[in-house]
Order: sequence, then C-alpha cells, then structure tokens
Amino acid sequence: MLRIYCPVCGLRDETEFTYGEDATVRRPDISETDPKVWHEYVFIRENPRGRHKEYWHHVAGCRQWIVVERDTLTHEMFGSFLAREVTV
Amino acid sequence: MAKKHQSPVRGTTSDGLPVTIREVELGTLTQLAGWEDFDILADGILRKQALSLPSDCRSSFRRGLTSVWRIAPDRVLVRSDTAMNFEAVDEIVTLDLSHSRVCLRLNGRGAASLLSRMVALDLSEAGFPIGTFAQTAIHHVSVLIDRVGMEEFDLCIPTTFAVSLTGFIAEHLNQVA
Repeated sequence: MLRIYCPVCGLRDETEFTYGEDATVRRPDISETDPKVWHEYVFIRENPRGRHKEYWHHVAGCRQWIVVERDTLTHEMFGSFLAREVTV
Repeated sequence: MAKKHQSPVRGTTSDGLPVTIREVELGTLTQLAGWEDFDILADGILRKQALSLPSDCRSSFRRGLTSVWRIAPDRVLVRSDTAMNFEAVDEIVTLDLSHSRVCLRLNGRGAASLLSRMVALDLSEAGFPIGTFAQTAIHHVSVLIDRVGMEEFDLCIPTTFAVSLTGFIAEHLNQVA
C-alpha cells in the first residue's frame, strides 16, 4: 500500500487517489503537423526506474490534482505539490 | 440488494464499546466555489453571515448550528439549519447541495473505534480532535467525516448511497435490538 501526501488533506492511502499520468510529458505545440510527434505524445511512454513525477487525483478527498515525485523502484516519496502550483 | 436498517441502529464494536448510528437532519448544504481571489471573496461573503473562511482544509468553523468546511483550496461547504442568502458575487459560484447528501451520526464510546475499521485515518483524540473534519472514502464511497464531539461523528454521505452505506457501517456492529 502506498501512502501519498496530499498538500491539502495530509497523508492518505493510495486507494483515495487515482493515478493520472506521467507528469513530465508535454503537449506539442498545437500547430504541430507531424503525426509522429502526436503519436508519441498520446501513446509513447517511458517506463522509468527511479525518481519520477506523476499526476495523481485525490478523488476521494479534496479532488485536487497533485504532482507526486516517487521512486518507481522503492516507492519512496520525495514530495507532492498541487499541480496548478508547479511547473514540472 | 442492500439490507435496509431501521434507524437508529444500536450495537457494540468487537471490543464491546457501544455505538448508535442514526440519520439526522442535514439541513441546508451550500457550496461556494471560486478561482483566483477565492479567499478574499469567499471570506467577505461568509463574514456577512457572521461566518469565517477556515484557513486550512482540516478545521471546521462552527457558529451555532452552522458549520463551514473548506473542502478544497477554492471551495467551501456550509451546513446550516436554515437556508442562507449568500451575497451574489460574479467570481463565486453558489450551489445548493442539500439534496445530494445525507447525514449519519455515529455516537457512543465506540464511535471512533467503529470508524477506524472502515477508514485509514488516525481517529485518536490527538490525531483527529473535535472540530476536525476529513474527506475520505468508506467502502469506496466519498464521505465527509466531521468530529462534533469526543464520542460523536457526523458523516455526510451521498444520498444515493445512504441505504447501502448505512448497511455497510451497521454490519461492523454486533447489533442489539
């Protein structure tokens, strides 16, 4: 069981959250016309080992999106922030 | 189909502590939501009703039968015994949620013990003192838990889950007639 720190509600069980997505992916410029770029943006994801930033939604709590930095190998948490307050 | 329990439900926890579960009148539930200047605007609206915007999302503000819960940085819920006429402000959205929630009251020496079987929160007196609230889930249903007394909790639960969730909570008790 992961325990995730919500900046609004405090430390909560993972079951209160829904995983969003990789928080490091950036949408291409809307004028981008290369289908390969859009294909990679929509479908292609890294499977990193180690520290990684992820979006989580505190769906059973404050309903805020947060960015969690987590070690995918050890599950160690390094910090979490309201998504609207950070630039990742 | 969920078994319908006759309110109030009385029983004891497995450690022998008595608990009573009863549905109580929720009153009026109003949500105020906003954007950038939420703190200033919402506090201004609340102060005209002799209320105040809580600074955090864990402490309830109470005045008489009215409670204010800050459920997100830019959202508050106001529970009151009568409808309140909040000032209309362009950047604040007011929504009447009175019919969307039902209030269950857990009362008795085993109330915290019963709840701790269903939610992963520290419900000790130190970890969850009177005047504290939390939004969490019971049986995957979002609920708001408000500690109104040392041995008393109010649970705001979605109306559509009132029967099934009451049953789920009651199943954790050794019920007495």
